[in-house]
Amino acid sequence: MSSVVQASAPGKSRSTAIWLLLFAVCPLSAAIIRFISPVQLLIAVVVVCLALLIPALRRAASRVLAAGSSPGSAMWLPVLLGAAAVPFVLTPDGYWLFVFSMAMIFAMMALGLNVQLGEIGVVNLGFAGLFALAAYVCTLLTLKGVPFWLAMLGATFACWVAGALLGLCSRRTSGDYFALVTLGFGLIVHQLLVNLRWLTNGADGITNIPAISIFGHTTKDALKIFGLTLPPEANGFYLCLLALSVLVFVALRFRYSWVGRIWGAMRQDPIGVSCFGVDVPSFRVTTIAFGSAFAGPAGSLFAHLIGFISPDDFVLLQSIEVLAIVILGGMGNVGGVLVGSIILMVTPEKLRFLGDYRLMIYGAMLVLLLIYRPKGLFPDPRRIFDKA
Amino acid sequence: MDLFLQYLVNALALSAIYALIAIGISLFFGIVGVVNLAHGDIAAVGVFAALAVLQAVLAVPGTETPEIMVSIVAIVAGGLGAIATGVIFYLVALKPLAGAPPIIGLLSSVGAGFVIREAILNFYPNGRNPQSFPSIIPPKSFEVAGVFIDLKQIVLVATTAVLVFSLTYVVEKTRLGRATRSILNNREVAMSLGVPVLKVTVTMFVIGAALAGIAGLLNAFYYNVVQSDMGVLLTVKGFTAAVVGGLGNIYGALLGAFLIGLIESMASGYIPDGSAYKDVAVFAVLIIVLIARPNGLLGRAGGDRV
Repeated sequence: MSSVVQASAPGKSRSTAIWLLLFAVCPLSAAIIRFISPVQLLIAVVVVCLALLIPALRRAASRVLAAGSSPGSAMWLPVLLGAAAVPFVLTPDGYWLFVFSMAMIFAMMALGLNVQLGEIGVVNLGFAGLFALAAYVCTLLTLKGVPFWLAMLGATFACWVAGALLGLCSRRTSGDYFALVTLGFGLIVHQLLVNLRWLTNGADGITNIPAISIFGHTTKDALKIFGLTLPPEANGFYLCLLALSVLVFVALRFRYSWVGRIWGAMRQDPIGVSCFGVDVPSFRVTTIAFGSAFAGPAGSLFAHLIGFISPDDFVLLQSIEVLAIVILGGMGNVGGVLVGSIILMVTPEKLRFLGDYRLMIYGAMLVLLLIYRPKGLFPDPRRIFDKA
Repeated sequence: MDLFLQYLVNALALSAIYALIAIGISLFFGIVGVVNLAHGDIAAVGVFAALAVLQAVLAVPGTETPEIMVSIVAIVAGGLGAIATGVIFYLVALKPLAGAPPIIGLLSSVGAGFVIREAILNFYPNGRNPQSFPSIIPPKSFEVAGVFIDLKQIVLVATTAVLVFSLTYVVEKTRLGRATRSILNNREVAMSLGVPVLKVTVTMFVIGAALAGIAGLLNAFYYNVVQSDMGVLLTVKGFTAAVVGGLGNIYGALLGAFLIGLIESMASGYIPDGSAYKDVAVFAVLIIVLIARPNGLLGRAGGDRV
C-alpha cells in the first residue's frame, strides 16, 4: 500500500484500482456505519483495534495515513471525491449527514489542537471555550446583519486573539501551567456566557440563528444536484467538507514547511532549537494562536447549522472530546486525527443504548490509551525517536 | 472599614478550603512531577461518601445523635472515600506512566477526573442534580467589633490550621518527612540510597487525598450544596492558589490560597453583581501572575525557561 505515494508507479490498471479503492473508502464506510447494528459495530471496532495490535499492520496503516497526509499526495483527490459522494449514498436520510457534519466540525477543532498538542506538545483543555467564542461572535455578528463569511472571518480572528492571549501565559513557564490556564479559560467562558445576559441571553441561549445563504440558496433548502434531491442537511455536509478540506490543506502546508520542522524540533528539544536562533517562547505563542484559530470556522458552522446555541453546548466535555480525538488518532498525524474524529464522534451515535455510561467509557479509554498506546492508534512514523 | 473587615473574615474562611487543595496539588506535583487535574474530583468523592453516610445516619428516626459525633463520622467517611480514590487513581492512572513525559500524566489525570465525575453522576442516587448537604455546624454567629463571624468560618479556619501545622511537622521533623523531601529533591538518588520510594509516594497520596477530602467537606459545610462537578472548580482554584504562591512550597500555597480567597470575597463584595464574576477575577489574577511572576510570588527563579 505504501507504494501509493508514488503517483507515477508503473501499471496503469493497478493505480486505477487503487484510485477506485480510495474513492470508495468514504461512501462505503458511511454506508456501513449507517446500516450496521450497534452490536456489529462494537464487534467491528474491537476487531479493528485487535488488528492494530499486530505491529506490522499498525505500521502499515499509519504509514499509509501519514503518506496520504503529505500535501503532495495523490491520495487526497479520490478520498475527497468519495467524501463528496457520501450524501448520494445516504440520501434521503438527513440525520446521518448531520452526524457526519458534526464529526467534521470536531475534526476541524482537533486539527487545531493537533497543532498545539501534537506538534509542540502543549495541552489545551479549553478548546470548548474557543469553540464557544467562535460560535457566539459569529452568531452575534450575523444577527447584526453581517454576512456569514465575514462573520466567520471575525470569529476566526477572535479565536486567534484569544489563543495569543492564552499563549502569552506559556511564555515563561512550562506546559503544565498552560493546561491550567486553558482549563480555567474554558470554565470562565462558560460562566461569562451564562452571566452576560444582555449580550448572550444567558443560559437560555440564542435561538433563530439564520441559515447560511449562498446566492439565494439557504442551507435550509433541499439541495438539487444532477436531478437528484438531497436532504437539506447535505448543504451543511458540503460546507463542512469544504471548510475541513481547506483547514487540512493549511495544516499540511504548515506541517511540511520549515515551520513544521521547527515545531517538531521545539517539542523534542527546545534548548537545542533555541541554539539555532529560534525564539522558542514567541514561536510557541504564535503556534498556539494559529492552532486556536481553527476553532473559528468550526464554531461558526456549528452555530449556523444547528440554529441554536446555549452555554451548555460548550462545556469541559467538548474540550475532552477534542483532546480524545487527537490522542486516539495519533498526535501529529493529520490523517489519524481525521480517522479519530470519525471513530469518536460517529460511533457514540450508534452506542446510544449505553446511555450515560458512554461518557465514562470516554474517560477510561483516554487513560488506557495513554498507558498502552500513548502515540495513538496511528502513530506518526516520523516520530520513532520521540520519547512519547 | 467594617465592611472590609467582614470581607476579610469571609476571605479567611474561603482560603481555608483552597489551602488544603493547593497543598495537596503541590505535594503531588513535587513527588511524582505530575500536575494532578483530578485532585478536586478526589475531594468530590470524599464529599459524596460523607453525604451518603450522613443521609444514612440522619435518616434513622428517633435517635438524637450529637452533632459532634455526626461530624466526626462524616469526616472519617469523607476522608476514607477520598483516600481510596486517591490511591486507586495513583496505582491505575499514574504509576504505569512512570518514565513518560509529565504531559502524559497530566492528560491521564484529566481522563481519570472525567471518569470520577461521571461515576458520581451516574451511580450516586440522583447524582445528576445538585444536592443539599445537611448543615451539621449550628448556624451561630458572633459579633466582634461590628464584624459577624460565623461558627462555620471558625471551624473551617481552625481545621485547616490544625491540619497544616501537623503536615508541616510531619514534613519537617519526621522520618517520613525526610524521605519525602529526599524524593522531592531527587527521586533517583533517593531510590539508590534505599528510600522506599513507592511506599512513601503512596503514603503521600494518602495524606494528599485525605486533605482533599476534608477540603471538599469544608466546602460542603460552608455552602451546604454539593454537585458532581464541584471538583473542577476546586481543582482550578486550588491549583491557581498553588501556582500563585509558587508550586512545591507549602507556605506559598497558603499565601496563594489566602490571596485567592481575598480576591473572591472582595470581588463579590465591592463589584456590583460581583458574585457572578468572582471566578473571572480569580482567573484574571492567575493570568497576570503567570505573565509577570511565572514562578509564583514565593517561588525561586530558575528552572527551564525555554
